[in-house]
Amino acid sequence: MDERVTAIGRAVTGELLSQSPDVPKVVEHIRSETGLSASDSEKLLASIVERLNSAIFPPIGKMELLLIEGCNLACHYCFEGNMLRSSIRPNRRMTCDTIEKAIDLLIRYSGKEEDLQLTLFGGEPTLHVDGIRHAVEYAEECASRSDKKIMFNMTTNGVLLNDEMADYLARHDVRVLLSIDGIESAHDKHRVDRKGRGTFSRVMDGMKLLKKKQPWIGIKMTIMPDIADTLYDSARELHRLGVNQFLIGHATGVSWSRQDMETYAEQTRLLYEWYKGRRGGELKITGFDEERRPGGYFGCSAGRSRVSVAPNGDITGCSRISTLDGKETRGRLGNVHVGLFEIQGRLEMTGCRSLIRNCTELGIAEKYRGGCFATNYEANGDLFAPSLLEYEFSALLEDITSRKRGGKERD
Amino acid sequence: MSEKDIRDFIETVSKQVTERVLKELRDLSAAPTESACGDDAFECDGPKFECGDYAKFNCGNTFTCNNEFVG
Repeated sequence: MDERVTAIGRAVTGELLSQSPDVPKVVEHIRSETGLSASDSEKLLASIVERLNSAIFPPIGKMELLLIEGCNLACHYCFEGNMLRSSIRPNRRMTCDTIEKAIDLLIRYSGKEEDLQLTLFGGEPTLHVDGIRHAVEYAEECASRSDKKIMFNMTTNGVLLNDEMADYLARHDVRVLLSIDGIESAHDKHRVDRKGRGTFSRVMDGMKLLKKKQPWIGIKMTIMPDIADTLYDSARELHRLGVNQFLIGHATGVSWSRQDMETYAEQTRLLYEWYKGRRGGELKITGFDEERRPGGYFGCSAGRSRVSVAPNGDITGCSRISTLDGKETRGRLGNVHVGLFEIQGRLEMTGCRSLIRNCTELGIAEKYRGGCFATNYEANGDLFAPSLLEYEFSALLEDITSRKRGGKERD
Repeated sequence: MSEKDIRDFIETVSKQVTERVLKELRDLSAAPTESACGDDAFECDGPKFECGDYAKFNCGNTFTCNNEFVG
């Protein structure tokens, strides 16, 4: 036994601590040393990987499931295009087996965390209704067996929502986040279907259905440079139409002129001033209430306490990282079969040694925690090389909402 | 081997091999470089630290805890 453990230990240590572990090679090594079946050898490796993660890293409490790679829309800025353009199997759907393995992994890697989150994502998740149902019902079953609570979210373009689906989502307490970029003229500029037609009126139909079942409506607004000047009016109008919560972000991976950035910042300032007197109750703008504090850790929660699972079972830190390159998975941390076996990758993502070094060399480390990994990759082809454009955005927006750091309150 | 034997075997070997990998990792991370709270990640398991919970610091940074930037 000892000799076998030593031999397995040597092989496993070498591979798992390398930059790109060769999982099939380790499984084969375990199989030949132990006489276990290939399946049991994989289970043994998965068990080692799980113990290692538990010893070194924080628990995973949040997971995104990319249920499908396809979408019924063709929004101009969407990363889903990356999945479709070069994917080996376009419109790939997550199988029930992968869904179950992913949820099992979330439960096992969550340690003592009791409150977990599962986000149903895509592509467009409503194109895979069976996947939604299977994920929700299987997760409910697992949560009840393991004394944990799972909160469900789903991000959708809303076009395919119908009564039956809205009813199901409400019954299972799936919180829906709709993608709406603004008033009709702004939304329809970039959020179009495959025939190039605007989708605003169809999304609003979906929103009305949802509102009947789930009164609190949240939306995600993606602001492109050419609609930056509509942000203030859009948010006020959408609130009037029934939207309660806003997650607002500028589009990344596109070119922003200085003028566009200043317009966006000015619109954000107007919105912040409008919001100050109305916050609470029926309105929330995410990011405007949170107190900013200096310091904090570099990077974000991707790979640290949350992961994303692609339809083929590959795991990355977040859905945006999953979709950076349709040819291969960038920043892969593992898969649903063996777990988070890319130990060095997760060390880098949680420790951010390269990101800290790069920010320090650029002289921005004290003000900037390195930004979003995916945006960094879009700008520089490297998850850990900070995007200077994002740094500039961050500085502009910081000035508007900062209070703790003595930011200027304007008239 | 019965299914139970296989499960027990996996459990035992898994524990022993994990310890070996962790030891190797510790040896590789010989010199902590930057630490705000003065503890290393192998002892970073949450509540006993003054620096807070996992969300507030980086346990993964080559076994140093740099929840705050220290230059």
